[in-house]
Amino acid sequence: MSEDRGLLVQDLVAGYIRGLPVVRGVSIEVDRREIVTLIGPNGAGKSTLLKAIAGLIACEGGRVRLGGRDVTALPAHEVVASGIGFVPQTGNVFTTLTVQENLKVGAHVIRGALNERLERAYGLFPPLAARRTLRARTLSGGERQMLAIARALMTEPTLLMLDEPTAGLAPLVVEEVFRRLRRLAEGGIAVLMVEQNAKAALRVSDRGYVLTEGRNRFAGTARDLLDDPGVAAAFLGGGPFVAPRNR
Amino acid sequence: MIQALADGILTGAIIALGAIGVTFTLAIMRFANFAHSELLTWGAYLALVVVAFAGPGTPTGPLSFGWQLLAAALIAAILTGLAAWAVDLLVFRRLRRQGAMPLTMVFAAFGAALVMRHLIVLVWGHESRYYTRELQMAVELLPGVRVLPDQMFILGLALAAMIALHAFLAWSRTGIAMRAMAESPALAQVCGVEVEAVVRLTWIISGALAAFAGVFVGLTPQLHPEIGFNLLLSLFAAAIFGGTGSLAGAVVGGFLVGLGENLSLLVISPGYKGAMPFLLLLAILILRPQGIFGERK
Amino acid sequence: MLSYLVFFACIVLILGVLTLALNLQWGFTGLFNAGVVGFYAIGAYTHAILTAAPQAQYIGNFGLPWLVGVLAAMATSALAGWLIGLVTIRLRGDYLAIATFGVAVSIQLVALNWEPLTGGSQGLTRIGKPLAHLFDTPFGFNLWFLGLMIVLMVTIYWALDRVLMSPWGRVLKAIREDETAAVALGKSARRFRLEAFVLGSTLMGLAGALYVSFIGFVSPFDFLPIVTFQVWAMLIVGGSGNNRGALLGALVVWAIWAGSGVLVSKLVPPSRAAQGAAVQVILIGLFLLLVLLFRPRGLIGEAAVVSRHVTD
Repeated sequence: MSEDRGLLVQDLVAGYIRGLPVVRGVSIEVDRREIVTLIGPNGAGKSTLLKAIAGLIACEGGRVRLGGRDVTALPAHEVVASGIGFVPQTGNVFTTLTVQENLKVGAHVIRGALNERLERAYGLFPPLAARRTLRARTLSGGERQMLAIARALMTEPTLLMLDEPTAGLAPLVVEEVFRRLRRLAEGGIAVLMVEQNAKAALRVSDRGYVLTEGRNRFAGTARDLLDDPGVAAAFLGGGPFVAPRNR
Repeated sequence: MIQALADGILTGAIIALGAIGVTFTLAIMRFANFAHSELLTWGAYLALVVVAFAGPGTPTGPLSFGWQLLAAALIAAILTGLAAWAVDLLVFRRLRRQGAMPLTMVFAAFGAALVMRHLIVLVWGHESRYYTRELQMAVELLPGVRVLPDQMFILGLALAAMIALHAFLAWSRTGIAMRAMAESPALAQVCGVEVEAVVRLTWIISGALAAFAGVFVGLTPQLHPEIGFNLLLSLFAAAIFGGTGSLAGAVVGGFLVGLGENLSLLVISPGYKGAMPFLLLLAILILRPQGIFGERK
Repeated sequence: MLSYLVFFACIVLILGVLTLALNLQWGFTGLFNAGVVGFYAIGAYTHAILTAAPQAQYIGNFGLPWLVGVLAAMATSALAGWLIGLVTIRLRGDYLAIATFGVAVSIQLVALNWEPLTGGSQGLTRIGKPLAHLFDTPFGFNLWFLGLMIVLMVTIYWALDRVLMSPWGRVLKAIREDETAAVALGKSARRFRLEAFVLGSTLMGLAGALYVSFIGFVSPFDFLPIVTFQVWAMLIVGGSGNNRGALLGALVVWAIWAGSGVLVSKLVPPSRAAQGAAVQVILIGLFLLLVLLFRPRGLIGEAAVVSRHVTD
């Protein structure tokens, strides 16, 4: 694993209230060109982990490295500048701004002209091009998700993090989103996502981590996790938990 | 009646300038800054200080002042913008960092307002002051409508300021970032917007606009330590009426409040004029709390 | 000196009633009432209009007994609390503050302008005092009034305690502490808050009636927004959510306010009185800001109760 090119999280401890950590020592890695999915029950700390990496909440322990560079203690806007794009679960577009303005804000840390980046974004997501002067409020659910992702890509990040990117989307749109994420990864980005829709997410992922109660539980290739009856039963929608054969 | 309309438009322009600052503070900093009205007073008096040295200038044309007063207003605007930022640094930002409740912020704003207002009283006392002793002849614009040339000029300047700000917010990267923050500070952060930088800019712009508004009040026709406080309810009524975070809303709200106040004089006694903005505020809070241009959250 | 202390104590107790009332609305219910002085004024003027000695130019001035005035004051402020609460309670925190602030300003304007009823800027005089005819000297009356206030304060304090321990009070506390409980109760949560608001307003009206019946006259200049600020300061300095803190805060803040006023008047020559007063307000304002910044939990140090439904 070429650690110095992707994301490396080591023993991260973080929470919303100081002294009450939700993430209690989690370690994960995401390399470029791969999609890694985090699954686990509600309250396991998956979203919190993403927010901690993004610099939205303070880390109380552990390290976060991106491309070899330590970004643990950086404030959110510097994390963005260092190459991490984040698509939050809710409220992920500015409804009062137009599509184009949303994209421009996404590139806030980029100096200089944005025309090239805008055209690239519109190339990746043609439906957005048609609506570039419309307020984001008028977009459908799927279009908003596309805009949210396009917005996060404006800085050409090394790592793209998504928190439940397919929540509330119709099945066809879900497939579309996953297809695009696959293509983005193939283009060289590291993709880390949290998904409730665990089975579908793992099918398009390379690897996965199972988190429970703020800690690592299982890890493995996506295939292994999908095939493992214990994991499948407990986390992918199945019967009562059965201890897995291997970790 | 038409005179009341004219007066309403003129008052409305001033209220609009002040309300812009209130609406952005409400949207970006998420608290009702009861000290904002004191920025108007400070702006007016800071300009008075400059005028005390440089004079208001020989009257240019039909106006009662020369370019020196405008320069004084500009200097006052810069100083007031910085003062607003300073108050944030000393008081509000500390409280924000402590995770203070909205109550604490509002109460702190009240306290800051008290201190700011009484500092003016300390230095200048309660008496009315004037930028210039020039008398002006009212001009009859339309039959039955008399306005002072100063008032027309002020209206023009206010509109120019609003248009300039609109252009800034609509087309500059920083302006778009401000609007983004007004909608969602959290998402703006995720986009890489540096929150404190936008907050600083918001205070400076708000303070500067408030200073202009204060100077305009001081011109028409006098200054005293309560000019800001007397407009407090009007400013908030306008900002909430228009929808927090909306420049257009603050402007429309400002004019509507100004018109409402002056038109109401046709039916109620002048002593009650101060209650008008409150009634408008109550109406909008009951009927459409997100304001005219606001989004229901 | 003694007579001044008696006077001071009476005022502190009256302000204490106001602070307890505000504590009920804020500390126990989480309602941000920035128009305290409005309800204070309603109670005061109701009492004044009903009990003042009749005069030709005034509509009111019915010369009714003191007790009638006090009870009527409580009734009108309760009604006002109910009407205003109906409209404003559902507003979010700082909007509620602005709305109630506006209410108080409007009430003060009515008091200032509706001359035939309120006496306008002159106010009303010869207001009904309790048993005033029994006392020859102001000091005698003040002493008796102090005794009356002490009894009233003890009663109110005890009554509030009982109310807060009652089933009603427990529901109120539950609403304050657990938002999901509030949501589960749905509309009823609002009803409880409204009832608490009305109860608080009633006490504020009572305080108003007591104030004017102590002083003997009413003036619209006694009901400016600064009073609301003073009561809030008392609550914050003492530590909200705690009735003991409320009373302590009333004592401390009023002592500082009155004390600094005396100090300024002694140190500052009369020609500079306005400046002296300004310095007094500036110093008090700075003091309160410092308390907020460095001891947000108040002097007693009780945990400042956070009503979660008040946050945005």
